Amino acid sequence: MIKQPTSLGCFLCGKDNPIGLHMHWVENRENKTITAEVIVPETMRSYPGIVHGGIVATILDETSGRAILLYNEYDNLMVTLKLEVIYKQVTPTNTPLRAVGRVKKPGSSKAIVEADIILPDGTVSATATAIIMRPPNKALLGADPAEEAEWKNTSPAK
Amino acid sequence: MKQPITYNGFLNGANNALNLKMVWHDDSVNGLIYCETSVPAVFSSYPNVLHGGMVSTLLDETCVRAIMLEEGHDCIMVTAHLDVQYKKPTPPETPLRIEGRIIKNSHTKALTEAVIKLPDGTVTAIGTAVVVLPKQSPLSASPEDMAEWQRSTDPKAKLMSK
Repeated sequence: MIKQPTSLGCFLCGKDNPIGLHMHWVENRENKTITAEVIVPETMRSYPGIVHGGIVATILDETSGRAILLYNEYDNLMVTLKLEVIYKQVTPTNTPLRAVGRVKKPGSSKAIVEADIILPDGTVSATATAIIMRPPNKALLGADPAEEAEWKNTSPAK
Repeated sequence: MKQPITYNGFLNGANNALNLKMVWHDDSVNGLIYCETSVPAVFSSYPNVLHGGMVSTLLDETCVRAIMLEEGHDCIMVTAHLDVQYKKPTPPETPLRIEGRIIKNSHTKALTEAVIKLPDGTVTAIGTAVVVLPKQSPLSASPEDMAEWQRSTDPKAKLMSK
């Protein structure tokens, strides 16, 4: 299992983000999936005990987007063009969740990726499909040298 | 007319520690609801770009709340399907206007839409959602949320629903 790079300030993976989820993803290069484990606090709920649908989308967006790093270099970051989320059942707060991402159609400039959120009993609570693309150079981490350095320093060997 | 809020909800909870305290308003004349807000940079992905999931969060909440325009403020639906198109990066720490409207309403299920607009009117993202009425109010599990929802419901909206 290989840990993917992380950032300083990102809401999901930034190590210095004071209210972030501090997630990290590990790659299984044999079965071509990435996985993260997370417990969402009650502060990010919509209704009592239920993770806000937008936070569910956030975890799926990030997990599907990172799956392309199984195929591409770690500095080939992409952004989401279109995200489709299907909510199958409620996702509970304060519960160990597993997010799994995979690539449906790889590409270095555009790709189709997928992700699921899985409950402790194995039930899939939500699933997403996304179209992602590579933006112009330096549009992302290049705007902040400290972020670019953190990403490089935490990138494993390919 | 201001829409009600929860006690502990992520975006609008009066007591939520993340303190976003967003408020939605009905604009019945124009057939839409809207929220004017600025999202803190801690919800970014890349520097100066709101996380795509946070963009989805704003659109999701607005899509769910749009149905209250026709069904009243005590109609609390949940999202079954959300489709988001990202047109441009949405910046943090910037005044945003999020608008929602109903496309199709069958009372227990509806198709709704929301957009995020920058100060110059540019639309950065569009969300389309299928929202459904659950068998039991999702707020019923928390008396304090139910109480806050009732307390913050505009008296005019209560009269309209009678």
